[in-house]
Amino acid sequence: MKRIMIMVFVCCVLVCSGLFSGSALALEAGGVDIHGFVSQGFIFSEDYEYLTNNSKKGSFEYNEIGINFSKDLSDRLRLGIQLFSRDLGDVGNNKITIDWAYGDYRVKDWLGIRAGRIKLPLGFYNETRDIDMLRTNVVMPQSVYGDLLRDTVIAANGVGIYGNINLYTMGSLDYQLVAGSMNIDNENGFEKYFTARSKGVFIINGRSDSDITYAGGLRWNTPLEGMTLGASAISNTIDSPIKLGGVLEAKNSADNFIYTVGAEYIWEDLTIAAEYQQYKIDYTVTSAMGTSEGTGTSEGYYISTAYRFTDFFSLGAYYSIFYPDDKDKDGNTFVFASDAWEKDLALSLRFDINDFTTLKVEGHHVDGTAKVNAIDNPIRSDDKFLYGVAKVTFSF
Amino acid sequence: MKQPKLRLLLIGLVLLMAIPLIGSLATAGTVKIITNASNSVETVDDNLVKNIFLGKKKNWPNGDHAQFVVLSSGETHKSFLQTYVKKSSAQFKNYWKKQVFTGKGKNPKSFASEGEIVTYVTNTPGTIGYVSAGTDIGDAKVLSEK
Repeated sequence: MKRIMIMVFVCCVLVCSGLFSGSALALEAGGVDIHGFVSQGFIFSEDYEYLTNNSKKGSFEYNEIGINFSKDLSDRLRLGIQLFSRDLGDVGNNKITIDWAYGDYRVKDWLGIRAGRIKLPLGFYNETRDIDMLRTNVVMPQSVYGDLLRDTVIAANGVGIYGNINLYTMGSLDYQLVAGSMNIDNENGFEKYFTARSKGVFIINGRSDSDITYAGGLRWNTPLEGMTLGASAISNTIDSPIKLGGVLEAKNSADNFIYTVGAEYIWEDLTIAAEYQQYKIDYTVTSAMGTSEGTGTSEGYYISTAYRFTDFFSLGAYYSIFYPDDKDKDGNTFVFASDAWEKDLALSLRFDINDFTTLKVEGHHVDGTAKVNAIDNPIRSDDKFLYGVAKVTFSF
Repeated sequence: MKQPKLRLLLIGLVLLMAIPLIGSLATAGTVKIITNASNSVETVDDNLVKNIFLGKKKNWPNGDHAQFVVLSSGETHKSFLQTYVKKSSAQFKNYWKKQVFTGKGKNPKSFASEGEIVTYVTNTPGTIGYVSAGTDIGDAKVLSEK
């Protein structure tokens, strides 16, 4: 499989250097379209290890690589697969995964059927979060698109329906429904997220499993040109073997419900987006000591804007707010009060070198340590800190 | 960071949003929407054109498969996107990259010149394309002109 990823890199180099014809921005072999991307980033932070476990020294362990193969088998039937690999410090470690792989049969414009590994609609950008060249910012607003949960919420193995419904003078409605099983891999961020969410009380002690995950998304393309309103949700139950306080073996059964609502407005070269998300967990812990139940809700929202000044240069910014416990936004029940919030102000510069190459530089001012992972940062030294990222992406 | 600095940054964000309000408004040239002569459809509204070029509609109202073709760049391409699809060429390209990298579609078939578009549309039933108003469309049929 590693050969495949090396091939992606070689293809990117060849396409970007102009050795292949770039008119269609794709390679084609036997009627199969091939597209790929390589994103390599550098992250540097003060005070805390942020996003990666080694950002204070500066880290190149921050990349995404993908390649997809697809073919239209008929006017209505399409088949494709994308292989994906990412590194985020000690998460991911460039293990190759199947990002999506499904057959897609379009019965009518308002009804299509998919089966296989399908990306999940969650917010406007969950399905495209790995594709760096599609946006101005590098790091997605962590209040809604937390990177540690990326691999868990990105896709499910199952079936789905989708379509576009004409509402005539009221615009149109895009819908998508998916039912399937999630792949939960502790090494891909779930374990670090889980431990942080339980404030270090629950330690994962084996493989987690989910029952059937249900996901749905609606996008209303309103009569106001460029204005889209969206709503989406994911629901499932995840069972995890855990150790309570690092000692007592137990089983945690968590009912998860995440919903996101938002608005996106695109006018000429300006894009403005705002989204709000709530993530509710109802959990039951069963051990030799008995059974206990609890509930917790996190809340996050952001507003972002981006403007494309020229074909070469775009500027973007967002302000993102996250509360891990919506009932304690001041940190009264947290060991470190600043763990109760994160307010992240980001400014991004994007340079499109050519059709295949994008360079970005981004700075963040963060108030609060809610997303500063306790495993990598046992001590809190400051409520506020800065971090920066740079990323170059090649795609074809 | 001190609050005044934060306030300044937020004001900067708002100003950034206002830039297009003072930007110049580009004027689009006239574009003809053309199709193969065998197509029984005689006229199209803007919404149908937009949905076909965004891959949301795969069929003509009469049920036949609709295949669209685009110019790879140029003023006619920009005018068409601005008038019918309501997107800039960068946004249109990004839209199709999203489809490609989520498995939902393939990049549109593109041509470097309007002459190639006319030739392809003339020879391929069910296709829809666009050219500038002054272009000779041969045996193709005009569905809309703006």
